[in-house]
Amino acid sequence: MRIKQLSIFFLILGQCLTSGGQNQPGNDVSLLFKPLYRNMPLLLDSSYVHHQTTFSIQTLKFYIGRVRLLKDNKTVWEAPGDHHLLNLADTASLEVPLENSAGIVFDAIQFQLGIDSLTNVSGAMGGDLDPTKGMYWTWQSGYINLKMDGRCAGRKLPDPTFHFHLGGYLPPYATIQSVTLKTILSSRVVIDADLSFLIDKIDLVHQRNVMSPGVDARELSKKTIKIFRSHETP
Amino acid sequence: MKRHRCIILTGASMALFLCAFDNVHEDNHVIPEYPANWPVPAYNFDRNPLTREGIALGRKLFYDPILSRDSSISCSNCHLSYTAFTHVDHALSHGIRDSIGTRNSATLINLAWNRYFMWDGAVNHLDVQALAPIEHPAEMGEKIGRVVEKLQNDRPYPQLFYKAFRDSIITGEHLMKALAQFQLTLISANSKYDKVMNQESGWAFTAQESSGYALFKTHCNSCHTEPLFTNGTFANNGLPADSLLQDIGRMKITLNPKDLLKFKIPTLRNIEFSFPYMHDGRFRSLSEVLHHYTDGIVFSPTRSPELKDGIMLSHRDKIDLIAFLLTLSDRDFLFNEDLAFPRKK
Repeated sequence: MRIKQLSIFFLILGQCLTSGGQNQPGNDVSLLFKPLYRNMPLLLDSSYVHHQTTFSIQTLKFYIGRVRLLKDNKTVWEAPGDHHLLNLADTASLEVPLENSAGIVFDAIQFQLGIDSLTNVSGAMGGDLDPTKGMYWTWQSGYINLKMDGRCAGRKLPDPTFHFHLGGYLPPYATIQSVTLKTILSSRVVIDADLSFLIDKIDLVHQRNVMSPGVDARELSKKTIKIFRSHETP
Repeated sequence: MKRHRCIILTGASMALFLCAFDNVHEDNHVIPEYPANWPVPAYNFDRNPLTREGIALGRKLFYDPILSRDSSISCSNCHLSYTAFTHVDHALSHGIRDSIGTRNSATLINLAWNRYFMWDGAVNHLDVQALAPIEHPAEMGEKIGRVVEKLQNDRPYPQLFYKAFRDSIITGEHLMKALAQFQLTLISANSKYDKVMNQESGWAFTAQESSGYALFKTHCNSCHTEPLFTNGTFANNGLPADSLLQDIGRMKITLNPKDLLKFKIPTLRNIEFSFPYMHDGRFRSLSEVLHHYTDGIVFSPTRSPELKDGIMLSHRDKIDLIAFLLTLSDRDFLFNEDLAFPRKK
């Protein structure tokens, strides 16, 4: 009897200790985004080969928000309307804590890439939405959902730099995107953000800069969904 | 009989009592006065409640050239209080180093009722309007982040921001909201026209002004709708397109061909003081404006249907109509020292 009880105790203890994939009671869930290029870490100012030329990224910033945890396609937890600015130059910003999510059982996450239209028409905001963050168009109201600036060796006119500032909330040029990913149950969900799924779809040598709402911004935004995948899938 | 809504300093007596306590500002909200028969403002005051401290801070910022890159241009350079908060005598405004812009400076009047800002409605909320001139290379030529840095290091701004927002760390959000608070107090509702409409004792239109008012209601009111003298929408009023500026108006923002050459219908309040006229300041006088409506309208697919047949006005009609438009001047607003440059008393 004693051995049986001890066995059960150790079984349970073992389960707890080896459950790297469990959402421990007491630990809030966090999302850790890992920017990559073709499965390698994406580093600012590093050179990467692309379509017989090379490029480097000087700025990569994007907003995520409306995070939801799902179980069997149903929402089991949602964020209270926070928006998070992720900036490749600020490593700490790449981890998004989900407050009060401890103990939630989920099998998928969902988030929006960008700022919703209501927030876009609600005036000046603070925190990650402050206009000093460089993600708000001053000449025309609206947030930039994803900003990617860089240089491409083969790009000549008007200069070797490229600028993709994807934003716009008015139909039919709305650019906000929704991403849903199946994931393992963990208190730290790692999400790969492989920019090759966006960059390799762009002709960096010839594509003109996109810095205002319109068809180009909308079409490029649609491609951004593909950059995200769960690092570990069930 | 005045039909004004009273100024409500919520908990006014409480506020006076609490004035001695700098850190107690609850219920210190200011609600601007406006006539009871006006529509409800579009601005959401819940997100940025007006306070005396916020308004005073916004006013100080409005008149401070620190907002510009070389500290030469303040908001008042293009928005002078005595001239209806616009930049008179200039078809196109000029900014730092005498750079010339591409549009005529708009009046800042009754902004709480606006849903769109700028001639093409590029800005959708008053709180974020100031970002445009602050960062425009031909206006103030600065970056909003730099403005915040400068203010943080410029006494007494941190203290003033603390008084207004309970935070001495200055943010872009609070800077914008302070400017908005001051601008929301720019209410013009006490012109001769208003006194006549309110049947104030001793005020009546002259025969000429009455005739002009009747003409106004027939020919102008559908777009320049009372009492704000704008219906807040965009219209193409038949102006020939400027071949140099090539300003396509609202279409630049919506990318919709149906918005080609449409511009925001401006208020006519204080029109006597806000020359020159139109989005590019092409008309120097009200006579020229009326001449356009009777003889100068050009066809375009997006022209307002109301102007399909032009406007018929005799020479006498034009004089009467201008006489009426002059009754929209509100000298209490234009020369209100509480709105002008904050001088130490």
